[in-house]
Amino acid sequence: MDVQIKRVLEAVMAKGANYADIRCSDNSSTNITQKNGKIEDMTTGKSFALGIRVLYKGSWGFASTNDMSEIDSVSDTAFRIAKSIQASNNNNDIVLADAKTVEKTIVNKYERDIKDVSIDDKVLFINDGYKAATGASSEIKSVHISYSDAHAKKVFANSEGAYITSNPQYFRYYVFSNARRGERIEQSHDRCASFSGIGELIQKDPAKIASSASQKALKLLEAELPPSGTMPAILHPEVGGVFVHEAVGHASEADHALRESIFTSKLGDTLGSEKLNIVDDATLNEKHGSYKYDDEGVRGKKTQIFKKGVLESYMHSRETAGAMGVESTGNGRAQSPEFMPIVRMSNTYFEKGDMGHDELFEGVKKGIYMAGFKGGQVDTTGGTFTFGVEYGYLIENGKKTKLVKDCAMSGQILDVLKNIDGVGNKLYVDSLGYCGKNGQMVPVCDGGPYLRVNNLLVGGQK
Amino acid sequence: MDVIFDVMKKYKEVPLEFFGSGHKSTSVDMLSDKIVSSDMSVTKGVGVKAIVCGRAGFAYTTDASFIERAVKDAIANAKYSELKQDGFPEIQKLKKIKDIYDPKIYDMSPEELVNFSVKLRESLKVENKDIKVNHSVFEAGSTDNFLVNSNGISYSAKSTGMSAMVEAVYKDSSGSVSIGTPTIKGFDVCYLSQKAARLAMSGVGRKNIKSAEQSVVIDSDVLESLLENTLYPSINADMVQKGQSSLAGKIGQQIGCSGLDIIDSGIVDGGLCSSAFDRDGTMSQETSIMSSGALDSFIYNHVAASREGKKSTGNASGGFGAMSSILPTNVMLKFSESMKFDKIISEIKDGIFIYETMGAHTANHITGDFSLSINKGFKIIDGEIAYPVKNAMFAGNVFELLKNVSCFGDDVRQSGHLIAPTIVFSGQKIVG
Repeated sequence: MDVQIKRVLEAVMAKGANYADIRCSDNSSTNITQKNGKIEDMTTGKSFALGIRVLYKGSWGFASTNDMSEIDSVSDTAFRIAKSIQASNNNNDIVLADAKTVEKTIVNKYERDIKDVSIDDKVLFINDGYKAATGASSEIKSVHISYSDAHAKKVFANSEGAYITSNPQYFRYYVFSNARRGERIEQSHDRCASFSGIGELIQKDPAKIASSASQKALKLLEAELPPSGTMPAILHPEVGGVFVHEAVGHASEADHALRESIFTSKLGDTLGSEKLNIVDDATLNEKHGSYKYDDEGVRGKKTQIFKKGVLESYMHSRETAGAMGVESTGNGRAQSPEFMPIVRMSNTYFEKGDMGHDELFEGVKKGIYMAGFKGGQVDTTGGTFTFGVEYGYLIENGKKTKLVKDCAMSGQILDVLKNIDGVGNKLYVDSLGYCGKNGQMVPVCDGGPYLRVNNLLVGGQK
Repeated sequence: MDVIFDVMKKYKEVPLEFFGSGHKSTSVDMLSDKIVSSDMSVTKGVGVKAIVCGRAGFAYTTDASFIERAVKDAIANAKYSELKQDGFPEIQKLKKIKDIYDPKIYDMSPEELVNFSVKLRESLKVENKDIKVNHSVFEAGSTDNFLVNSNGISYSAKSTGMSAMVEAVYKDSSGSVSIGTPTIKGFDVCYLSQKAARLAMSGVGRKNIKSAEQSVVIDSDVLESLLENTLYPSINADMVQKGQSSLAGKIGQQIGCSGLDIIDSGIVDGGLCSSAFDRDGTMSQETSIMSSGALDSFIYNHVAASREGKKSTGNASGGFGAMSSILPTNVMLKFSESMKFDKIISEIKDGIFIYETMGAHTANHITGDFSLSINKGFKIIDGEIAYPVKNAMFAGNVFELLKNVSCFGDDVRQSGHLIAPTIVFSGQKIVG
């Protein structure tokens, strides 16, 4: 395959392309879905995908296929597309930032390789989960469990001589529990996922994960509706992490910042309090957003986005870095070879501060503690956000009191950054998120310490 | 195809189904008047379902030389599966559907699609030189499907589609328009640019409004986004059987106003969601969902229908990478009274015309409750469009909405699944 890939790259360059890259992946996957104790879907699949990107006089052309034998015609198509855009009076002027050319074969050794796990064992993970989830209480009325995994051979090659192969794998295990008391129904979930073999699932124990999903759903049966208004809030690392990712991260992606975001032309400006320190770091060990090389063959890095409230850097692909005359930060990622790489986050988190857990709560006379992210929307141009939170607690005189559910928080990103007045001294970067942008999903992780915001708009239904 | 028949002979004691799909799609993206990317993708693959002891297993591959391996995997998977399935659909004589395939789209080159984008940019400038394309996407797609099963079915079908979305900006106002057609006839870039320009320009000078109950005029794009998050899952037999639909047990009951009919039809000529057969190999048909406001039927695929001892309504949907799920095809809304769009507006004393909203995906599909923020809406006073509104929300319940239809326009068009005109609903809550 490598001979063919190199030949195609040489051929398209000989036609006059300025740059080209090829990505392919050969993927094997398993999906098992169990609903209320019955396996309703048992699917295995093999898929191949190949994408070719060609830069010609400042314009991109891109084409993809899942048939390796079409590699030549796909390369021709990508080149033709780039030429037709260039010819349509666009004055496109894409320049790629220089990148180190890497030739490398990455062979990850997985302690508990997914390829060695039998279907019987996978079904056992689900059955153990089901027993534990339904065993938690007679009020657990329905349980859905899904297990999926995949392993692949991936290749990245470009016309500058880079050639990187790797053998990634992952699994995902999700449990959704529904609890019912009278007319009231509550749902919660728990999950486990990893890119480093099945060891993590065995260690975390499917039964414990499933039981935790049920316990959370049962707890929600007791929850009240939250109050509305502006109040001090303490954000659990999962909620604070989502805020960092959605509200700060996306606005600091250079493709957004180059067009229009709240951080456009603000590099070097002080936009938050001294306590505001945010990084994006692909090099963390075995996190959900970690990688060695991005999908442009650039090594993953640690990038300081905010330092003491000052906006230090955007996140870049080679294209956005070229446009701003800086180096790529290794954030050019694609969902699969069927998509062009765009600027994406990796593991994004708020750096830890100096306040103890109790100290954070002690400062709050009347407020709210928010945990369990549910979903949200952010406008990086206008700078507003709305997030839903699964549950939380009222805080009265520094103590957590009543459990509340279905809260929403919203506001102006820049106001919240200025209003963070307490940062915990312990770091949690453990989320298992997927981030969607321009129709592409990539795995990411976010987190931070517990954060205190001195006034946050909370929208409850009470 | 010969490979498939050979494999079927070899495993003739196992009921098998093969669904193959080849999809080609070309798209062009424009941001701030500049084409930023264009791509062409080709995806091909085959999904295999095997029934062993009345249970279905599934496997898929994108590599034609792995088909026998996929059959073996599907058989192995069936042994773990608890999805009951007795057999596959039998052969039927398929209907011919007109205007769902256009060789001009099938053969469309990326260059032609780039030209469409350039033409859009230029025709917007003709409308007003200060109008810009904030974002536009043009897409041409074609699909070749085949379905072969052990009952002797061997169907194939070709279909095509063109779509375009444009968001034009003028000063601080924007206007979005999207169109989709299965053939090139009716794909009109001038219509797109004129409408987007008119919307963008008419959005300047937005005013706050007060909360009140009033008549609401809804564009079919807005209605489709609401129905796809509420009504469609509620009539899905799989959801009904799992107790996740509030319409469960309501067949025969009055759920809409008496003049309203809702029909699901996979055989509409020129329909965006028409096809001769569905993902299970069942012939597409017309199903009455609601007649004169009474709930007639849910929609089924083969598996869900056999659970109730019924016949499938031909609503199996999906690609080669997974087993079929249930989706509507073309959903037609019909009402006893209709009038011209201008006449509709002229008869409203106090109302709002809602053209674009955000937040339909947060609607509760079981209860039908929704709360939409109005991105683009116009206040109607004494029969005339008075001014564009800002900071307004439309909150309500879809099932209540269906009971409060007051009139249909005559501008019937297709948006996603929905084939409907602009519709007026009475007594709806607008929050200012």
